Amino acid sequence: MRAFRRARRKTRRTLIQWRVLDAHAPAVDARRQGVGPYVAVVAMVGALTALLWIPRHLFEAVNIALLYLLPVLYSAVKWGLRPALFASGLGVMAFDFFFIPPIFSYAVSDVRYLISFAVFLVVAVLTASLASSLQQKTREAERRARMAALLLGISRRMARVNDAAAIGQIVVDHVAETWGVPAAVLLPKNGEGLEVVAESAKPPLMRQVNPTIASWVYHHGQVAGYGTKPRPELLYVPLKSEDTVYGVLCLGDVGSAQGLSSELRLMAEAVAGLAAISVARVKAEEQARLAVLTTESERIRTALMDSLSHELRTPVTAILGAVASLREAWVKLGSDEMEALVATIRDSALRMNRLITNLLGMVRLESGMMRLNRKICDIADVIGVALGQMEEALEGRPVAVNVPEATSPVMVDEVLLAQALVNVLSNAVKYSPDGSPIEIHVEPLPHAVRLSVRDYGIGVDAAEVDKLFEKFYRSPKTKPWPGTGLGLAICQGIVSAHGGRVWAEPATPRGTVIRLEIPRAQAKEANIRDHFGD
Amino acid sequence: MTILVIDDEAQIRRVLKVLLQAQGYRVAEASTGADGLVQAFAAHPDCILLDIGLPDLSGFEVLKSIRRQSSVPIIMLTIRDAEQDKVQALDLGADDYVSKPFGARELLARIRVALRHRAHDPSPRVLQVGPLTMDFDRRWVSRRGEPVHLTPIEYALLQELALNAGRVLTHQHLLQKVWGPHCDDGDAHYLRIYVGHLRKKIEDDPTRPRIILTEPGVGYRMMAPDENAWPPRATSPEGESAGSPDGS
Repeated sequence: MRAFRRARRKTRRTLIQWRVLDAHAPAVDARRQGVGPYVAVVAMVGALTALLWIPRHLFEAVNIALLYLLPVLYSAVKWGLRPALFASGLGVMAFDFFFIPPIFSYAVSDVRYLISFAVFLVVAVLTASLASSLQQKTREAERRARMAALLLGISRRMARVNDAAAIGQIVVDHVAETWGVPAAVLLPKNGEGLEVVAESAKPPLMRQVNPTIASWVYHHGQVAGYGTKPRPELLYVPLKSEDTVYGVLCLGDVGSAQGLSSELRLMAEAVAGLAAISVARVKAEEQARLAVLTTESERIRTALMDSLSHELRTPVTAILGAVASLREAWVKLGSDEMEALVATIRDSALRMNRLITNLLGMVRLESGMMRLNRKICDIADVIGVALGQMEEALEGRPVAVNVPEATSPVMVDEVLLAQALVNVLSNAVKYSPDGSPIEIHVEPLPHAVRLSVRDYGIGVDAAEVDKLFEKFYRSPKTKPWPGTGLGLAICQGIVSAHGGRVWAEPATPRGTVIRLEIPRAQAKEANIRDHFGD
Repeated sequence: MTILVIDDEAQIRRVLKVLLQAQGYRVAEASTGADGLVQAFAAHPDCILLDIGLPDLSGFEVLKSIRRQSSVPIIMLTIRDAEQDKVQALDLGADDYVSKPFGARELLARIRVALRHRAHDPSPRVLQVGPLTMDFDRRWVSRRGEPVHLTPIEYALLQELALNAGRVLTHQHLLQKVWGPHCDDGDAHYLRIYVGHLRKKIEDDPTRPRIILTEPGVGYRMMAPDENAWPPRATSPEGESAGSPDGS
């Protein structure tokens, strides 16, 4: 199968290559066609003569002369000007020899026939030249269409990639496949100089890319290489767009001593121009992305500094204050006051611990160190773990957990998923009145498990449901409470690492619903589901 | 009773010393792994608290060295989110672990459980855990006086957990004890399924289990029978969520 495909590609390649050469170099063509057309012309004229010979008495000589225009016209369309001219000469000679009295002689009895010959020749030559130039124009138009199609194809392929090296590879593949010409693309390295980012494997470049020439072409923006030496060198074409050179396209030899035709060279320049535009586009996109990243990291750094200094210093201040009171006013303090101070120390330490946990979680997510340790888990168990961790915070709250019997196990990292759930739950607790209920609902979907946590708190505005999960974003409504705006961002990071999504919805009449959707890992779970039934 | 604390942080050692001495334990200290190894045999401790992150030797190395010569109970001091470390320490012979930052109540409960197992008490034939009464001679389990009907596997699982009440048991340990030595972590889903069944039969609220607790990423732990408060406090630091977020 593969062999067949290779063979087909080869045929197509040689065909196109031949056509390209054929179209732009008629002189070469005539030579290449050889004597074939002339033999055919002789045969046609001979056959026509034989055909006309028998009923020759029925025709006027002029009619016969007109019929001799047929081979001229045919060969003009079929083989071009020269065979057509040959046909007209041969036609006149045959006409004179066989049909003009005296027959079988080139002598002419009536001088008026000489005028006929002249008229015939003029008409024949005109016909031949008109027809052959028409044919040439048609071929030219076809060639242009083909070229336009090729360039369109290549530019479409290039529009789909976002990486300069990939563009280089497309150009190289395209040149190698379409023309059978080995090629390489050089792009500037990060530091200095050019490097080959793509090189055709088949056919391979016969000689090394010369870095000096490549660099010259890159800096001067001019084509270099061909024609200076008897043995064809590589052709270096700059990838140039509006005075900026983005790299160099290097073309090898076509495989014969004749080298690249001027046509192919024009084509190469067109392709190089296209590549330059694409590389320029990629560069611009890259720069835009970098700019966005820089702004984003600037924003995050500021937020991080703010939240670190505030969120860490506040509990430290509280601890130091409480400790100072305990130390200096030891004797004067009543047991209630002492208890309050100890509680302050404890709460402050826990708050610092929360912050550290979240910062570590964030760093782990950002640095890509979050590795999932997926195992088959009962979703109810994960909820149980999260509720266990929230035990104290949930005191005095009615918590309704609804897990349908039919919920089959899922492949998740239970530690991380419990963490995500804890983050959602502690927001629910934090931003809703003491004693208000919290509801956890599990919905088994065909391809996912959906977990919803609903509270009856301050709610969320429809406008900010997307922002809620951004790092360091805190809704204006939450200003009265301390916080860093990391909890939901970490939750989202964990859920996305599972291939799932998390979103917020305003609940009616009040409160917020946070939904976590974790996709199922198909095969294994289905297998487990069978066991689960028994 | 002597407890050896091997931790490089002076502050942690100081706090632990005060805490443990207040409970009537004698305390020996070591700040490096090498010193800890010496003390482990010189001080004849009844229980060792061993930090995983030591400056000279890793906690695992110290654990292995001690285990080669002694079965003294060892409780590892680990950090949160390092489940692999916990499992590895348990596999290497640690009795249990507490995650930093840990609460005093949690640590003392672990020490009590470890010391009890160390004492080689004959396994109690009747065990009371929360509302659950297990009579292992009669293979009889009841909850608030009502009989609980268990399948043989559920019973074996419950028994293994109960005989080690208060200790964490890894998934692999439970699988091999209950299903047989050929089981490995790949069969962990059976365990989860049966724990789920068991909880439905013995817990008041299976979604908020209090008898069989999940140690995420590690295994299961049955509530220690002497935790007399019922319902018990949670086992994470002082019951407070250690990882609750602050974001909106």
